[in-house]
Amino acid sequence: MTETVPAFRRRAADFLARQGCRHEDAPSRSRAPGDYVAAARVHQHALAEHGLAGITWPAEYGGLGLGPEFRAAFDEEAAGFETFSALFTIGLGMCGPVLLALGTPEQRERYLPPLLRADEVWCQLFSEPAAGSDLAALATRATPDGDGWRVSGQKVWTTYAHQSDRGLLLARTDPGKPKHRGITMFVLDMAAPGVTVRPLRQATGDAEFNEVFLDDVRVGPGDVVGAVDEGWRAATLMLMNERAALADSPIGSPVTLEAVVALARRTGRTGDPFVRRAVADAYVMQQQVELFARRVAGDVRVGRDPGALASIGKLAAGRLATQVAALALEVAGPDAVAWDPADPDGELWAYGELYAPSLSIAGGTEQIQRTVLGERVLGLPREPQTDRDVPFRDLRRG
Amino acid sequence: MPLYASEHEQLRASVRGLLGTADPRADGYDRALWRRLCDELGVAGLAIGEEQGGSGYGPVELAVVAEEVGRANLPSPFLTTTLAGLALAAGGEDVGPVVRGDRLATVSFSSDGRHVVDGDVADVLVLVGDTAGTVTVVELASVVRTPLTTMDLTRGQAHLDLADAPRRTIAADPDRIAALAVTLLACEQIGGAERVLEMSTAYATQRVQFGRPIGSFQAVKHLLADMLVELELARSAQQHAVALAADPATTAPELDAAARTAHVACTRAFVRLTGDAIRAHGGIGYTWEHDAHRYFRRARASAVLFGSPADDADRLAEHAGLARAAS
Repeated sequence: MTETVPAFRRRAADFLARQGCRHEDAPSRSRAPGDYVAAARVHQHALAEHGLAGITWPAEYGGLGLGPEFRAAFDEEAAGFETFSALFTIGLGMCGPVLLALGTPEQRERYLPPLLRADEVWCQLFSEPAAGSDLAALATRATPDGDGWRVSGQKVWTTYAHQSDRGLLLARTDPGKPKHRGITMFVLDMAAPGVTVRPLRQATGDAEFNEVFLDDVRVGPGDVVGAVDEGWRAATLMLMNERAALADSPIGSPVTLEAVVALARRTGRTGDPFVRRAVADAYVMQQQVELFARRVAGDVRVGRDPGALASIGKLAAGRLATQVAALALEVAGPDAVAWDPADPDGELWAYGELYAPSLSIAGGTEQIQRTVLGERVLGLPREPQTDRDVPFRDLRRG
Repeated sequence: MPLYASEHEQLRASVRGLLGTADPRADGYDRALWRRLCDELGVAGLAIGEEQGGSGYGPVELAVVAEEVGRANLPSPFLTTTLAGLALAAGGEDVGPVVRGDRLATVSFSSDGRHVVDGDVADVLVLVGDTAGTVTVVELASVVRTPLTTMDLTRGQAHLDLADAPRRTIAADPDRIAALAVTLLACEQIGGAERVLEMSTAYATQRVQFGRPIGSFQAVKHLLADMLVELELARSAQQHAVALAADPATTAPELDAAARTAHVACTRAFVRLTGDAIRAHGGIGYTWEHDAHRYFRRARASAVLFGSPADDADRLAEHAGLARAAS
């Protein structure tokens, strides 16, 4: 018997009321990262146990096989609850959809059910020290070895690699082809011999990022996702899913306008004309960001590529975070930059200011987003590319 | 759900078609065109009830027409006559001549008679929200007017000597008129901003320097991308304000917050996009013959048409949770 949306909604609300974790009760990603990941795993496991995980995924791989209206109903009920999206965007929002689209039946059966139950956490092994915005310039090499490959190279900005069991890896299988055409996507076992993970501290002091060193790591034919030398297609699909996932549940700044307004009240600045003007400005920006997200979800008449419109939301979210974080520093004054270590919230304003720039870089820099908008929405001509048809091994890199 | 349905797009196409017949450099508004807009499409009474001679539509249809008027950037009494007409209709006045296009009505939000928009051509003036919070009507036939030289070549203003002019009070809601005024202004601003982005994109695609279209250079591409971001964010605020104005369940504070947000957002977007459009066009965009400066002039004048967005800041801070300072 098929479940109706209202019945599903009630079931979701019941679950959240009993086992959900309210935002304010969730372990801090920043101060207790280990507890955050542990709580995330417990939460996702419980969702799966209660038949609420993988709402739109096919039932044969542990999903519920339901339509997007069920997902929307769940999201509405989950407002105010921690969904641990900072961790799960990568595995559930990006790796899972790529495996569903391009994985073999064996890969889907083996990997998707434990991914949905959070028995296995996944990461994304894409960026490299010399391949950031120009991802297709990646140099990690997969050299043939019997029926498989030996992989050597270095990945960077690998979020939660140190907490992950597996990852989707891009490596170069044919350096004789132009850069977009000799890349293959593999499933990588993070516990395999030759994989070394080194945490990288971010500007905030948090350590969610990692460098991942790959030294002669063995991957087999069963680890190829999609086809050999066609990894760029898989990578593009994954990045599209990243944009969609981030548009769906943005990983916003920890410093909200509401928090700044509360601070202004506590510090007696409500009558200060500068504060009132700046709060009004931030309010207008916040409204626009929220209303744009709602409009894009319901109406995509403005452009040719609905995916590209997510770039507007992303740019705007970065601007809003920067604006609100700077306003918080103005309102808090000297307390924002020096605080009593005994005050558990003392660091918040400095943290928000240090966090804001990440939203202008992660998931594609502001400059990349502007190029996407210029070319895919406005239809402007592309920049001439000198590297497109040259064999990778002949390119200038660095 | 999208704000505009297919019948709205039909209305849009009709209005665009008619406005396209006008001389874009006309001095002052085109009376013959205004009559056609009133006769063929009923634009002056679009949101006035059928029992009062109007078409009985609402804010969504007004938004479509306002966007097209803004896009065409033509002198048109649409905005002021619509707002004043709605106030007069709410007050039970005879609006037949206004709906038919025989009489022009205008509106002012200060009672001193200064800077009255379309005050150079209007026959009747609605003064909204004076100190007593009332709405009053002044017949302008015998009022002394001083038409002003305006930065905006498409919208006239006049100082009116209202000292001895008889006024009659009507029962209309001043807050509702004020919210609708900045909401429809936002629609005009979005229409104009959309048009200058189209012009700039087309120019950047055709104009070749250094052997390739200038739009292929990141410096120009990113300028245009920023214009797009500004436009679409502001459009979200505008459409929300229109949707709330059209929804009878909207509360007064909700309408006030949405309208002021749209006012600030669309004013900024229009000013910014029209300035950037001149820059995107280079020297040609700075000539009198090019339309870019006409849009820029309209943007600057529109920014202070119905109160400056700076006036909105205090109320918006309140909506954001900062109670008004104790006085």
